This record gives sequence, structure tokens and C-alpha cells, in this order.
Amino acid sequence: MALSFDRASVDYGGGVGVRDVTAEIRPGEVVALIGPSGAGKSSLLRMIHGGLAPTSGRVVVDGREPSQLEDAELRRLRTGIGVVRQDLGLVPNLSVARNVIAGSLGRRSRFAAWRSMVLPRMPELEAVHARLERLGIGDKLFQRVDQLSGGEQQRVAIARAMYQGPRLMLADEPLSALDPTRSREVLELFVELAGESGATLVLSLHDVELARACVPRLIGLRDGRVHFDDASERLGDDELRSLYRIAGAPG
Amino acid sequence: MNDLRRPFPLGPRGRLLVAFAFAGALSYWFLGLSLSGLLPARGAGDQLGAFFGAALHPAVDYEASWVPEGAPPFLSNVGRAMLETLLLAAAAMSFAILLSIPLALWTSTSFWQRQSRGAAGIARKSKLGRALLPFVRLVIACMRSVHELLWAVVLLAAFGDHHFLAVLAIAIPFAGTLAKVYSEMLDEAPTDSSEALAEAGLAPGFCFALGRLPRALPDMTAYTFYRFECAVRSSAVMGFFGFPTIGYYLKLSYENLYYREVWTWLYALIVLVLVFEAWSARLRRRWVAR
Amino acid sequence: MSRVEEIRRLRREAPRSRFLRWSGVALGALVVASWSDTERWPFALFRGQRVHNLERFLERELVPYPLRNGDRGPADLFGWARDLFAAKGGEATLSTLAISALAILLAAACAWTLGPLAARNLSTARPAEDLQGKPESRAWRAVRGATFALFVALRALPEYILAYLLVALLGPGHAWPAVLALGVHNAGILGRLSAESVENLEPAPLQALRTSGARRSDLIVAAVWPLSINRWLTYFFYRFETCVRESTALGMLGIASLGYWISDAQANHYYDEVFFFVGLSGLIVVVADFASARARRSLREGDKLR
Repeated sequence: MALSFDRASVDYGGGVGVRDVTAEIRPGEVVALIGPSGAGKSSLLRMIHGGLAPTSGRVVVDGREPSQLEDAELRRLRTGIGVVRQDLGLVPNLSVARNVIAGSLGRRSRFAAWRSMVLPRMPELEAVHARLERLGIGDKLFQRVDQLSGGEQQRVAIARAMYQGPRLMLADEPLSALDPTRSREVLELFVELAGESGATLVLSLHDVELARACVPRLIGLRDGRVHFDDASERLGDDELRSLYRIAGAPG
Repeated sequence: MNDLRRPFPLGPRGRLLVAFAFAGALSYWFLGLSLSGLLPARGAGDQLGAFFGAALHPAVDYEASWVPEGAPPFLSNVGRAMLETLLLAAAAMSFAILLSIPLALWTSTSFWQRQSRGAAGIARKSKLGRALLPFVRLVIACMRSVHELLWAVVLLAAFGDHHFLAVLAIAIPFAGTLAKVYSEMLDEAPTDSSEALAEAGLAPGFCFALGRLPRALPDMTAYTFYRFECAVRSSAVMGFFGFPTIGYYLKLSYENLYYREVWTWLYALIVLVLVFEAWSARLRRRWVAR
Repeated sequence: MSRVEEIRRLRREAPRSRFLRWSGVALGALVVASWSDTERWPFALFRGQRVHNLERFLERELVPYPLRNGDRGPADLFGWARDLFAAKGGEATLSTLAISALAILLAAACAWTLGPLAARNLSTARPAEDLQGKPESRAWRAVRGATFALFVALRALPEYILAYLLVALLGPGHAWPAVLALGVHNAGILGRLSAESVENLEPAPLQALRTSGARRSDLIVAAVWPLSINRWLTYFFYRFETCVRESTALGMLGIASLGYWISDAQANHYYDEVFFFVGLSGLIVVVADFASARARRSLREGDKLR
């Protein structure tokens, strides 16, 4: 799925939101948004799936503007976008299988959706199990989500997004709750999964070094503006460091 | 040190205490109470002794000197009354839950929201539903603010004797209470999972049913069980209006001054309530705390 | 092993609680049994003689007296209501409120002094200390158990039955039976709630006082009461609201609350008056409900009584 931002801005009134962001992301590309907290990474991600409308400028996803779509059209667009939220957004007292299946119901008819929630059929369970196994938690299929560890829960959220069969994956700070070794593992997993399915992947990340090591293209955001946008091997230490420099402080 | 800065000799807690004492004294005066009222009524001193004396010897058989031929044993009567109390409570609760669900959904804000556009959550387009909202709120307030015994009085006056009226008398106020509490719980449930489902392109109805409802369900179940306990007590009291629950037999025995039977009925009710309470406490622990 | 078999195995081995399942079955059985008694089915209510009764009730008996005969109109309705309120309703309303207030104050006094005795963190030989591994004092466990059992026993019986027994024992014509019945039942409820809230207190302030040499009584006066008072007041107002509701009904036992006039009118078949007083009772419950909700909200959000 192709994405483009054309002078997109969000004005929260007072605080800095997003200012004049212009960027193109090609289908199948893997991009990390990096920058200090409050730089506008989450707002940018939310504009992509239509959770937030730009106050000026345009965001175009797969040839359409999410904020301009009717509800039904927006929902159709969203079925092709897998989102892994920072808070995961899982239902803790349902089983892993039901959580994963729930993510894919947007594409089904009302009746089929209810049927697969109440009595999931074997082919569905097989597909879910295959995804979970790929993520290393196949044996948790029928466990309640609140009985899993934090890392396992995150994998359930990833499985749910993957099970949608998305052409675009969005992940907001997916590493914030993990220790450094796990962080790298999970980030590599994201990149790998996107590569396998050919989906576009956009993540927001805190850790610049990790992003540079694993993600081919980085967009640095600062105060809601694009600070740099380049392939990671071309980005020098100085540029990365300047992203976090306090405005007005001597270099 | 704080005391030095207080403009008033009493702190907020002291003032509260004074207000409470004043309210208590005012009520005491208004009701025309006197401490002598706490002593047994004239001529009832012996009665009081007899009543509490019987506590240690609850009846296991009829106290009456003459029992009609073929009457079932006393204890089997006790069992039947206990079962009847429980069944009335179950019927009333099941009916109340059924009544409360549409009311709860109607009055909960979250049911009318569509979360597709983020936290702003524009209301779903159902003009009639929203226009009737204040009316539905009023209906709920009326249902739950009239006591179940008063509902029984009104219903019995309207329809005459019928077993369903006991069910309805309990179910109406309980449904009102359940509806209010359910809708509050639904509105206070965490929103992250329903937002996540909206972001995956699910229709608002599914986001509510699969994302929000399950988050509120443990609390709703726990509260329902607590209300079931209350329904057991209410169903026992319904016996005072002629329905065959524990209250009916208790009243009969008390009017005949069969105090040992009275204690049997009291113990039967206590056992019923305690068993139910223990069961629901354990269920709550298993179901909510997991 | 094929994937299907693996899934079947996982489903078999998924953790399930036998207790929860049997509870569900038992509840379902109770509900089915309760409705399998056809005498409980409502259909007979709208057949035969009952329909005529209902019609008469709605068209004649329920209609307020001034509207019933053609000669007077809706303008007299207000006078009718005002007279009823002045003669009976007003005083009964105040009595209802007074009974509830006195009862809930008695209950609170009882619960707030005894509550800490049922709390696991205070009712031990070493209050507010971490008891990991240390043996517990048997005497204190007995105190705690006895207080807890007292609370359970107090709230086991419904208020109406307590009041019914007390009316005969203490004599009719005064409000003590209602006050005591409501007080006893609510003392049990508030007692358990306040014990629970003490158990959920942050241990740090209590431990700090304890290490500086405070006795148990100092601990209760200086820390437990001030720290719990907000929570306790929330419960207090919540139970006050239910007390008002309950005391409207207790009047039917001959105690001077609104219920008294309801059963009086019922005995005379003045169903318009029954309706008036039931409506009035509903109204004061709504008002009490509103006041209690306001009080609880200001406790939650406003100035804390610390």
C-alpha cells in the first residue's frame, strides 16, 4: 500500500502537533519514524488509519484520503491496515484465538463474523495457529490473554494484525516495554514479517541506534516537522544526534 | 501545627462529626423517640424472654398440638419453602436481567458512540433513540426508586393474586438498578480494545460487543451475583404478601407464638443467604480476580 | 502430529475451571426450574375476570378522587394532592428521612469502631507489620473472626423481617423497630466494607507510626480513621440512599413512615391515595439518591477530608 503526506499538519491548538509533513512511502517499504516524545510520531501514524484528520494538507493512503471517507469506506480501507497499538488493545478476558480472529472480522458478513467468534471453525483455527506458531506462541491458542506475559501479549497483538492479511502494518512504539535484547528481536521480527507478506511497514521508534541497524529508511521528526528523511546507511551520527538536541542549546 | 492556622476551633472532620450528631439528635427528637422505647412493650417482657430462649431450641417438628392428618413433616416444609424462596429469586433475577439489558444499552453513552474517528467519538445516527433517552432514564429512575414491597402492593391491587406478580414486583426495581449499574460499568470500561477493533475496520456494533462489553462483563457478573443475594432476601420477604416463601411461614408461626418454629425459619433463611453469599464470593474471586 | 490434532490437543488441555462450569450449570438449572412452574407464567394475568379487575383498577380506582366524578376537574387535583400531603404525606416523608438518618448513623458508629477489629492488618498481635512466616496470635485471630462473624450475622436477615420481629417485641407506635432493623442490617454491611477498606490501606503510614512507638489505639485514631474516612463516607452515603428506600416500605408494619399511609390507604381501597404515596416515596428516594450521588462525587473529586 502506498502512502503519501502532502504538507499535512495537525493543530492541537497551543501545543505542537504535526507541521507541514511531506513524504512518500512506496508499497512494501519499511520505514521508521524516530524522534523524541512529542515530536508527532503517533499523530502521524493515527492520520494514516484515519483516527486523526489533518487540519490542513493531505494524507493519501492507497489513493484515498482516510479523513474524507464515509464510515463504511473507511472501515473497508482499515481492514487492509494492521495496527499494533502501544497499549496493544487486546481483550484480556478472551482467549488468544478469539482475540486474533476478532481483528479480521471487518471483512466478513455480520453472520459469518458472529459465527467465527462464537464457534471458530477448524480451518480458521489452523490459520490462527500457524500465525501464532510463526511468532513462537502456538501453544497459547486457547489461553486467556490476561494469563500471558507482556511479551507474549505483544505477539498476540502482532498476530492479530497479521491475521488481517494487511497490505500496510502500523506499529506505535512497539518496543517501549521491552528490554534491549528483546527489542532487537521483536523489531527484526516486524521487518521479517513485513518482508514475507510484502506489506508496507511504518513503525515509530525511540531507539535511534536500533532503528538504524534494522530499518532501511528513517524519518526523523522534531517539533512536528520532518528533520531528515533518508536511507539509514546514509545518515550520519551528527544528524541523528541533532534530532535530540534541545532547541537553542549550543551544538 | 495545623491547628494554629485554623480559623475555626474544629477541623473539617470535627465539623462533620458535629453535623452528624446534630442530624441524629434532630431525627431522634422528630421521631419522638425515648430510650424507654427500647425496653420490651408492656406485658411483653416474658414474651421477649421466651422468644430469645427459643433461639437455642429451634423446632424440628410442628409446635402446634394438633396437626392435620397427612400434613408433610415440618422439616420437609422448611426445605420446600427454602427451595421456593430460591426459585422465586431466580425467576425474578432472570426476568430482571432480561429487562435491564435493553435499558442499560439504551442509556449507556458508549453504545451510541462510533469510535472510528478516534477519541472524539461522534454519536451514531439514531435520532429516535437519542430523543427518547431522557424518557428512558426517567423510566429507570421510577422503576428502581419504588421499593419492591410497594410494587407488590400496587401490582396485587391491579391484578389480584398471582404468582407472577411476586416475580414482577422484585424484577421491576432490580431491573432498574441493574440497568443503571450496567450502563455505568459499560461506560467506565477501558476503551483500548474497542478502539483497536475500530482501527481494524470493525463496525461500531462489533467494537462494542467484542471490545467493550467483555471488559465490563466481569464487574457486571459480580454485581449481578450481589443482586441475586439481595433477591433471595426480598423473595423471603415476599412471603408476607401470601407467596409461599420463607416469610409466609415465619409470619404464620410468629402470629401463633410458635417461637421455636420462628427460629427454625430464621435459621433456614440465614443458611440460604450465607450459602449463597459464600458461593457468590468464591465465584467473584475466580471470575473477577483472574 | 498434524496441526488439526495439535489444535484438538490444545483445546482439550486449555485451562478450565470446574467450579465455574458447575456454577453455571447450577444457575441455569435454578432458572429453568423457576420458570418450569406454570403458575409463575404471566399469561393468565390477561385473561378472564382479571382483565375486568385491571380495567376497573385503571379506569376507576387509580384515578385521583377529584377526577373520578364528573363534577370536578383537573383544577381540583392540586388541592387534593396538597391536602393529602399536608394531612399525611409531609410528616411521613420527614419521618422516613429521620428514620433513615438515625439508622445509618447508628450503623456507622457501630461499623467504624468495630470495623478495624475485623481487618487482617490491624487485628493481629503486631498491627501493620508484615506477617510473612511469623506465627499469628490465636487470641487476635479469634477477635477478628468473631467481629467478622458478627458482621455476617447482622446483615444476613433482611430489614423487613427484623423490623417485623421487633414491632411485636418492642411494641407498636414508635419508630425504634424500624431504626434498629435498618441500623443492624447496615451495621453488618458497613462493617464489612470498612474492614475491607482498612485492609486495603497503604501500609507505609501505619508502619511509620508503628516504628515510632504508637500503640494499636493510637494507630486507629491517628492513621486508620483519618485515612479511611473518605472511603467510609462514600459507603455511608451509598447506604443512606438504600436506607431511605427501605424505610418507605417498613411503614407497612405500622411504623410512621410513608409505608404506613400506603397500607392504610390499601386497607381502605383508596388506590388513588396508594398511588400518590407510592409516587411520593419514589420521589424522596430519587432526591436522596441524587443528594447521595452529589455527596459521593464531591468526596471523590473535591476537598478531601484529610
